[in-house]
Amino acid sequence: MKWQQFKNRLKKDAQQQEADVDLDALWNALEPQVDELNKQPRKRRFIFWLFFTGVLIAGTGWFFLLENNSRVEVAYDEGISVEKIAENELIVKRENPSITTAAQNKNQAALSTATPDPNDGSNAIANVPAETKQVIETTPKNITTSSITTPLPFQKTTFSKTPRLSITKNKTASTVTNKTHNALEDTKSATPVSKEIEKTKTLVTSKALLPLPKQQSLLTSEESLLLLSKNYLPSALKEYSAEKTSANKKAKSSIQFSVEVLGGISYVNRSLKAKNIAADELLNIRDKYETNLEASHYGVALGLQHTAGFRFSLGLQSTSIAERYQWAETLSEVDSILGVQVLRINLDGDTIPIMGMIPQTTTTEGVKDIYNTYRLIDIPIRIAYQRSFGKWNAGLELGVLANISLKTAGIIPDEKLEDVDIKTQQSSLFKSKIGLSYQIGLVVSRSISDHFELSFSPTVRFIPKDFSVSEYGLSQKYSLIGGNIGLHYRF
Amino acid sequence: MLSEEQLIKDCQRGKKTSQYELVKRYSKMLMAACRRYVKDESSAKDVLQETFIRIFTNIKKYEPTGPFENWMRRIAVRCALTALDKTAIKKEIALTAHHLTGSIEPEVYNYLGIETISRLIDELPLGYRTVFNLNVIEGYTHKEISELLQITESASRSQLTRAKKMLQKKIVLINTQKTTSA
Repeated sequence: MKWQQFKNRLKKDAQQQEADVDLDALWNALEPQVDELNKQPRKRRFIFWLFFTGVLIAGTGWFFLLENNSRVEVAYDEGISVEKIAENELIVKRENPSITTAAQNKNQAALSTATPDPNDGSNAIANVPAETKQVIETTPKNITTSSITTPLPFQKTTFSKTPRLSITKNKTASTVTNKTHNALEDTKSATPVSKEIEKTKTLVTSKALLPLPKQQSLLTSEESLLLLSKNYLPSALKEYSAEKTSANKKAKSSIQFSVEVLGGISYVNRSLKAKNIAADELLNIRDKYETNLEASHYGVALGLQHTAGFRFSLGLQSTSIAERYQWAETLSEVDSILGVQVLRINLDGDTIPIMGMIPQTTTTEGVKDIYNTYRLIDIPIRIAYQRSFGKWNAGLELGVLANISLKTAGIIPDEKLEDVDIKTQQSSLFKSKIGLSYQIGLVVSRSISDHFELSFSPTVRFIPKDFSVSEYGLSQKYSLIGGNIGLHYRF
Repeated sequence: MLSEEQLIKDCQRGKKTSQYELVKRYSKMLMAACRRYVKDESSAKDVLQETFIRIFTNIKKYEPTGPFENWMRRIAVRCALTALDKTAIKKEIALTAHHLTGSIEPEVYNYLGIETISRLIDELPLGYRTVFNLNVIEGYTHKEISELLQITESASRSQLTRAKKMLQKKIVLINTQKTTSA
């Protein structure tokens, strides 16, 4: 039989061998530990849900902001319409529930009480019939987002503050009819209605009102309507259109995406504690021979930034914590070996070796200088608030980092000062994931161009979870104090 | 009686009755594996206990790419090696590493049963026995053995050759004794 055949037979037979075991004693010893293991909650796919939540928050925030702007846009779009309801009548409509009846009453009163001055076209209202429909003005003050939708807390109103003419209506259409103009035919001014209204409205500027030329009193109704539409409507609509474009532009630029690349270094603060008395010796050894070095990190992130100063980012980050295991000692071992103890020369001149045990001292000088790394891959979710100071921004940042991987490499000592390879034996010493860590810091940034921004953020990161597994005798935790430098590209 | 697949699933869910069933089914086999490396009875029991804890801790990560028994046995071997005095193994290997011998004749193993051979393996020195068991019975490569015991690959190979030679001598001695008594 060849060696390989024997080996296979031996392997098969040996693997099927059994040895006697006291099952009850074994289970009694195992049961408490098994109960402890079974208590540990099942780990959900936490990382997935955390990532999903981050995306959901970002998407919801974007949706609401976009929706709000859309409503504003829609409000603009739906706010104005011009209809020719009859040959001599033109209706300019705008739904504005906030037009108060007080304004209407004021106008009505003005219309009914004004004394016409034949020489001054400004007061030729008395002849206006009471039922004359009037142009009711309102100011942009009524055009607020609150009348359209509930704004988000940090949204700024993007409307122009300059009052504009709004040819508005109450519930029934406001019209400028030929009746009005007919009533004014005897006057030399064609502006009395407008001017009276102007008196009741304090916020309307003269720019907003284009008075009808005096000649208009002699114009036909149709011509006056045309002139009215020509003078009032296009500019009003134009202004509205310009305002809409401007507001939309402002609305669009209030949210910006950014891609960020960041890197940094940190000082490492390690907390090593013995979980039980038996691990005290191990703790002494590791504390004596291991030194913390630095932590370095780099990553990328996608960000959402609002002009109000809030920023949200989600990314991927790698952190590497470096340590050094340094050991220099001299070991002496005394042993004995079989050798020539004595050489004897007899009377015949023969040399006779006398064998015996010879003591032997072996001195070993050992020097170890080993660098260990603990590499974490995290998904950072950061929220920041920054205030703008010209090209500079400064603020506060909070972050939650979800760890998705921990890899260890290097050698650490055990309680007998033997080397333990933490790369091959990671599963028996350290976890593969350590859960959440938390970060807080300041952010200072400066725009270096229209699209690029450079930031510096000193941070403190707390990693509250133990890096080591429950079976290992020591608890190993970290906190990092350092800073990040980031380059942001906004678009 | 639960199938192995169902037993594994139940243990992954933390079902205590299935965990007891697993201990009951495989404790003897795993104890035999532990005893190959740890001679002391009480130490072997501790190793067996540690083995089952590791099995229950890591069973959620188990993927059925190979036999479940092999997976458990590997855990038992690693626990046993952790309990071993590796210093003693390394010292023994260092002293004998340079004593490489020539080839051996495998035919001598034909007429012996597993019990006798296991006993002879148990009588081997610590380093020889450990490397022999890891390579021949557990199937570890010399590279893997070198990582487990933190020795060189060449030391692992020489230990195996030395173990085979010594085992052969013992077998021959037994055979001679049998022939003489017959």
